[in-house]
Amino acid sequence: MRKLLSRILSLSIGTKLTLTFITLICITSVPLSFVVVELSERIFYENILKSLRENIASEEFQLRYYIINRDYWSLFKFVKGLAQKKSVYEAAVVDETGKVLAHSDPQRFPIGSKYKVNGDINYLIPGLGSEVGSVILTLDRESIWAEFKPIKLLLMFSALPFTMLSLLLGVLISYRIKSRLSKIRSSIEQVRKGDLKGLNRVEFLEKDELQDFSDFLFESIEALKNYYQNMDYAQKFYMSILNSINEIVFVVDEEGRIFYANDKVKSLGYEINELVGLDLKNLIETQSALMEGNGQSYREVFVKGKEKNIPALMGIARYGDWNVITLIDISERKEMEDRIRKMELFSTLGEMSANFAHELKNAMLPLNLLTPVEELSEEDVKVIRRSISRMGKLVNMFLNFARPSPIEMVKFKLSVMVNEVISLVEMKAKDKGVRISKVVEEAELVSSKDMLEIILINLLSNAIDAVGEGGEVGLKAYLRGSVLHIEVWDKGEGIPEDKVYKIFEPFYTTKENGSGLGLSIVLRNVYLLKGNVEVESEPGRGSIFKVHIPVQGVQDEEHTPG
Amino acid sequence: MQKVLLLLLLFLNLALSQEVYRFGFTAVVAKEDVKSVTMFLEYISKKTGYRFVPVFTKSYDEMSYLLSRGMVDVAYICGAPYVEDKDYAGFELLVVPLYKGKPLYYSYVITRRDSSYKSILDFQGKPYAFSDPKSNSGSVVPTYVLMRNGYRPERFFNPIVYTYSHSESILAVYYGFVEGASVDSIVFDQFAKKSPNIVSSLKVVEVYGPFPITPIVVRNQLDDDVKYALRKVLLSMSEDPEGKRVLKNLALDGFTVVGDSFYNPIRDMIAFIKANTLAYEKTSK
Repeated sequence: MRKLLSRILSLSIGTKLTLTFITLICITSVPLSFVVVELSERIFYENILKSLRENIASEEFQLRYYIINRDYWSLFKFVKGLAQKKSVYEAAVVDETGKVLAHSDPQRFPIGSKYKVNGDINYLIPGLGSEVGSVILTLDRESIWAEFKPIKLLLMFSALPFTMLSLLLGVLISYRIKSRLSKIRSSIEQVRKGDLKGLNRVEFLEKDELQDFSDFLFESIEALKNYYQNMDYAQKFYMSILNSINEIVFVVDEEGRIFYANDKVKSLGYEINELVGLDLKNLIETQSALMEGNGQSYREVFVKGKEKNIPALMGIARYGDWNVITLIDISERKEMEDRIRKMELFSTLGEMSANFAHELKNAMLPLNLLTPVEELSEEDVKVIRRSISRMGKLVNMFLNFARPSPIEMVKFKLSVMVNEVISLVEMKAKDKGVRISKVVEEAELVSSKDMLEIILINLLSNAIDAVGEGGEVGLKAYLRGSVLHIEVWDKGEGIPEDKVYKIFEPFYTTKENGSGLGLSIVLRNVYLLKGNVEVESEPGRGSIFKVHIPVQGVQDEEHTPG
Repeated sequence: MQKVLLLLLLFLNLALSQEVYRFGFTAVVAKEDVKSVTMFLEYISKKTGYRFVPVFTKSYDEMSYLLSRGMVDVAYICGAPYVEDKDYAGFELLVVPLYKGKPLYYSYVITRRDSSYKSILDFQGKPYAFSDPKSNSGSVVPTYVLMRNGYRPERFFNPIVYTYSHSESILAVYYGFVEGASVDSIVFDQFAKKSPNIVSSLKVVEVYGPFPITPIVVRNQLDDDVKYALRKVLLSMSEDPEGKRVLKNLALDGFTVVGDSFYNPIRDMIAFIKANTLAYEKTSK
C-alpha cells in the first residue's frame, strides 16, 4: 500500500493530473450514469406498459362488445394487432373464467384453453358489476431491452468523451508545465555553466504561479550575481592588501597545515602552490611549540627559505579553527643589533681603556712617589706590594673583560647553577646579616653556564652591597618558552634616577672597594648571550635587575623552595 | 349566346335528374377491394346515367333489412339470404354473374397446407370459421353437410368463429386462429390472385357444389327504368372492352338472367337444416 502510494506520488505531474481528472470523472460519472441508466430503463419500461394499457383502454368498449358477443375473430384481430408490437411477446383475451377467447399464438392457446399466465399487464374489461373478461399481455423483455440498448449504451458511454477530453487536458497541461519547467531549467543551466550574462527572464503566456516562480528564481539569481560580484571584488581587494603588506602571512588549520600564503612567500623562494597543504613545522624553526602564544605576543623564529634561513618575528592570531601566522623578516634588524652590540662593546672598551688608564695611573702613584726613596721601609714595601697587586688585578680584569672567551654551551639544571652561585656569596651575606630569598624553577636548559654564573654572582653581590645590615635580597629564575628570565632584587637605597644610565659603565662605582666593572661584565655577558637587561629602581625602596636570555631548554614543573 | 344557354339548361337538367342510388355490397365481394368496387360503380353510373354509391354491411341480415326499408336499392348478396329474405324484404333477382362462364360457384373447405385434415368431418372439436351465418358457401353448405352426417355444427366445432367475410375466414386459417374454414370459391380464387403469398400456405381439402351463384337483387319498388337500364348495362358488359376490364377485376365473366327456381338447391338445403334442427330439439328433449 505504502509502496503504491509512494509510486503514485513519484509519478510525473502530467500523469497525476490525468489520473486525477479520470478518477474525478469516474467517481462522478460512473455512478451517475448507472443511476441514469437504471432510471431511464425503468421509465422506458413504465412508458411501454403505460402506452399498452392506454392502447387497450382505447379499445375497451369494442372489447366488451366482442367478448359479450363472443366475436372471436375480432378479438383475435385485436390480440394479433397487439402482438405485432415489438414489445409484446404474446397477448390474450380471456373470459371471466380465464379461458382463452383469442390468443396471439392460437396454435399454443386455442379458443377455450385455460390460460394461467398472469402476464405483465392484466387489463380487466369491466361489465356491469363484474368483469366480462381481461386482456393479458406478456411483454418481450429482450426485445424491450434491445430497443433500449442504444439509449443505454449512449448513456453509459456519455462519460467517455469527457474522460477522453480530461485525458487530453491532463496531457496538454502537463506538457505545458513540463516545457515551461525545462525552459526555466535551461535558463538556469546557462548560469550554472558560469555564463552569468546568459541569464534571461523567461516569459510565459500564462501569468500564473510558474511565472511567479520563474521571476523569483530570476531575481534570486540576479541578486546572487550582484553578491558574487561584490564578493569577487572584496576578495581581490583583500588579496591585494594581503599581498601588498610586508609580512609573510600564512593561514593554517588546527593541525598546522598551510591553507593560504600571501605573495610574500616568494621572498623565501617559494611558490604559493607548493606551500599549500604543507605542515608549517617544516618551514619554521622555533624553540618552543609552534602554536604557543597569541596574537599579542611576537617571538623570534627562524624561517627556512629555499636558499637561506631568515630570522623573523612570528605572531599568531586565531580565527575560529584557523590560525593566522604573520612573519616579519627581522634579519636586517638582527644585523643592526649585532652591529650596535659590537659598537657598544667597542665603546665600552674605549671607556674602559680610559678608566683603566686612570685607575692604573692611580695604582702606580705610590710607586711613583716611592721611586726617589732609596731605603724602603717595611710599610713602603707593603704599599708597593699593594700597588703592584692592585695593578696586576687591574690588568687581569681588563684582560678578562676585553678578551672574549669562547662561549661554551652546556646542559645543566637551573636550580643547581643558582645554588652554586648562592653558596659563593653566602659568606658575604652572612657577614652582613643579609637574608637571600630565592624562587627557582626546576628546569633544564642549554646555555653558557659560566657566563650565567658570572652574571648572577655580580648581580647578587651588588644586591648584598646595596642593602644595609640585616637587609633582604632575593632572586627569581624561570623559563618562559625559550627565554630564561633572571630577576635579582634588593631592598636597598635604590639608584637615583640620574645615575641609572651610568651604572653599566665600566669602572663606575659608588662603593669604596668597588671595581666598577661588575655591571659592565653583567652587561657584556648578557649581550654575548644575545639577551638584554632592564633595571627598575625606586630610591629608598630598592632595585630590581631583570635579565632575559634566549636559551634552549625544557621547562619542568615549577617549585618554590622555602 | 344561344349555345351557352342551351348547355346551361342541359347541365341543369342533368343535375336535377342525377338521383343517387345505393348499391349494397356484402361478403360476396372482398370489401377490401375498394378499387374494383369503385370501378364497377363508376362504369354502371356512366353507362346507365344514374349515379350509384356503395353501401357496405357486415351481414346479410343488415343488407336485407336495408333493402326492406329502401335504404339500399340494388345489392350484391348471397343465394341463401335471397332464398330466405326475398319475400319479407321485398326484393327480386336482377341478374346473376357468370363465373368461369357459368352462374355457379362452390363452397371450399380450406385449411393450412401443413395440416393433415382431409374432410370437414376431421375438424371436430376444433375452431372453425364460418363467414356469415346466412352465407350459403360459408355457413349453409357446411351446416348441411354436418347435419347430413348427424352433427350439429355448434357442437361439432369448438367453437364456430363467425368472421362475416370470406376473406377474413381465409386470414383466420392463415393465422392459425381456426383450423379450417368454409369459403366462397370465387372469393378464394380472387384472394389467391391478389395475395398469392397467403394462399400458397393454404390448401383446399374439400369442394362442395356447384351451387347457384350469388345474385344481384333489386328492391321490388325500384323504378322500372332504373331496373331496366341496370339490367341492360350489366348484361352487355361482357361485350364492352371497358366493361370487360371491370369484370376481370371482379373475377367475373359477365352477367346473365335466371329464374327464381334456379335457387331451389339452396332452398332445399335450408329446408333440410330447419327440419332437422327441429328433430334434434325434439330428441334432445
